[in-house]
Amino acid sequence: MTEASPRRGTIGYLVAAVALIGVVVGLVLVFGVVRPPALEPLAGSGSTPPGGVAWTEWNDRDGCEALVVARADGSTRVVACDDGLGELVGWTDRGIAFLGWAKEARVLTYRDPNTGLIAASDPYPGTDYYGPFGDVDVDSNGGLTVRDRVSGEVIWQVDAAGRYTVDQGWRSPDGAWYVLVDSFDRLLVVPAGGTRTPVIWANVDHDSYVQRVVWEGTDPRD
Amino acid sequence: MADLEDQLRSWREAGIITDTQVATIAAFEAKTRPDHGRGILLAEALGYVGAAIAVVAAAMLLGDRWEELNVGGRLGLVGLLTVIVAGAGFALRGSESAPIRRLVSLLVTAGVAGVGWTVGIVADEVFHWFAHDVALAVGLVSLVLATLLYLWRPRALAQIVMLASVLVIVGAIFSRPGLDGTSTWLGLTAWAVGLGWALLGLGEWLRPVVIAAGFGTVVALVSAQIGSEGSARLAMLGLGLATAGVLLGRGVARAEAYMVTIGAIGVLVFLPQVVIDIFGNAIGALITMFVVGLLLVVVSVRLARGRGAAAKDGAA
Repeated sequence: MTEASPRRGTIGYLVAAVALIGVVVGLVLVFGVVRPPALEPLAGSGSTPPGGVAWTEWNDRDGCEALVVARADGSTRVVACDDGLGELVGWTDRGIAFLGWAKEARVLTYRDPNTGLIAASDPYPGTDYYGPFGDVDVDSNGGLTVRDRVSGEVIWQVDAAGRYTVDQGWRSPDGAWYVLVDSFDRLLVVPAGGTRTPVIWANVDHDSYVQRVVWEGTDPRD
Repeated sequence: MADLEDQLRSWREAGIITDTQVATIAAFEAKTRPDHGRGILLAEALGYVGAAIAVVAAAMLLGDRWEELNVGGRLGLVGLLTVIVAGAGFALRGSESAPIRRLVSLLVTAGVAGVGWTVGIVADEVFHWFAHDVALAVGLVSLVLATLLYLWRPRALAQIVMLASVLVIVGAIFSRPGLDGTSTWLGLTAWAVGLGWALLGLGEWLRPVVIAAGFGTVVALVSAQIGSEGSARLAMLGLGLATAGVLLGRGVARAEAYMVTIGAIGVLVFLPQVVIDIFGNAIGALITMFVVGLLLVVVSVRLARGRGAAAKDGAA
């Protein structure tokens, strides 16, 4: 005998093991899988947001922080990837604004939204930026309701499965649109009023936590 | 020489000899083992010590240098290590000496882990997959290789890698969007995998039986604890407690010390949590632990008496 060969085992135990795992997998498939609401993409939906949005996410491939810009036509592009972009705080005519440090002073750096290159920089009058990390509140009791944090106006109501949620949302400078990030890493855009269904603008990196999305026209000094 | 341990186990399972006789024969053979047996044991020990030194040195070396290596360097290094350990294992595969076969098992299993590591580097740094997809690829490849290894030589290490691979796959699946944050479902699924693994072991579909049953039940209990969050906390704790109770009961009934130990630890872990969750006070938990402690003493006495009786039967 050179090696103990596996003997045929007891059928009852095999059946019990397979049945146990089968039942649990069945339970997971029926009750444990969250299916997000089916939404249309922005392109071809007829919706036209008032401008673009920008956000930062970690780029694992190149080991840098990526600045991503989504345009109103639905296109999305990484325009810069750097070790330290700073804190994303706005998007003005001068460029996409990041708050950082220079010689122990706070400074705003503006990057060109097309090339990602630094276009200008200004001293920042304050010490820290206290802009909102979001403009919406989310209520998940009995379906999902997204409201404006200040006015309480309903932005979107949907009968979604328990763990589907909207993580955060930001109001456009004209107050007429909202961009939302949902738990399926989708960037959604929806007009104010609560009567329209959001459309999918872009996907954000699953492994990154998107802290802030800024609309084109957001001045960090406001 | 054929593997004495395997032969003894085979004879005992066939009812030809008793546990006592197995122990007597093993003790006799150990005393009369020829010198070359000691030499093989020494070779095995040297193999383990050498492997341990190499692993520690590699870890210390890589700890500082890993970040400086590019993808090619990382793949080359891990690939070289994999080829060396797996190659050494295959080179020794013809030996029928039990110590050398154990060494072969360790080396080839390390080779499987090396292939899994290589796949992880390729998926992560060449294809830039998401972390959950990288884990899924590593788990699937490791499972296939470990299963092939187990079918070739059904030993403990290959079986443990199979179980670990299945758990990696389960974890990777539950990390995907749509299953995020579902620790209850993750815990429940891993509980089922662990218990299923133990059942396959107890039914002798997986060998060694004690490894399958022991590791499977531990995975089941730990998973029940992991899943005990949120609204399903009490249900998962109850599941863990029930599992531990069944293990304890089976262990006592069949005089299986490892099963009693795992079950007893499980009861000690889950029972106070269940009591606190239901009654919400610490005194209740302490009283419960006191009662459980006394019960375990009774179980211990019962187990000891059962063994004593079995020993007498064997002697008779």
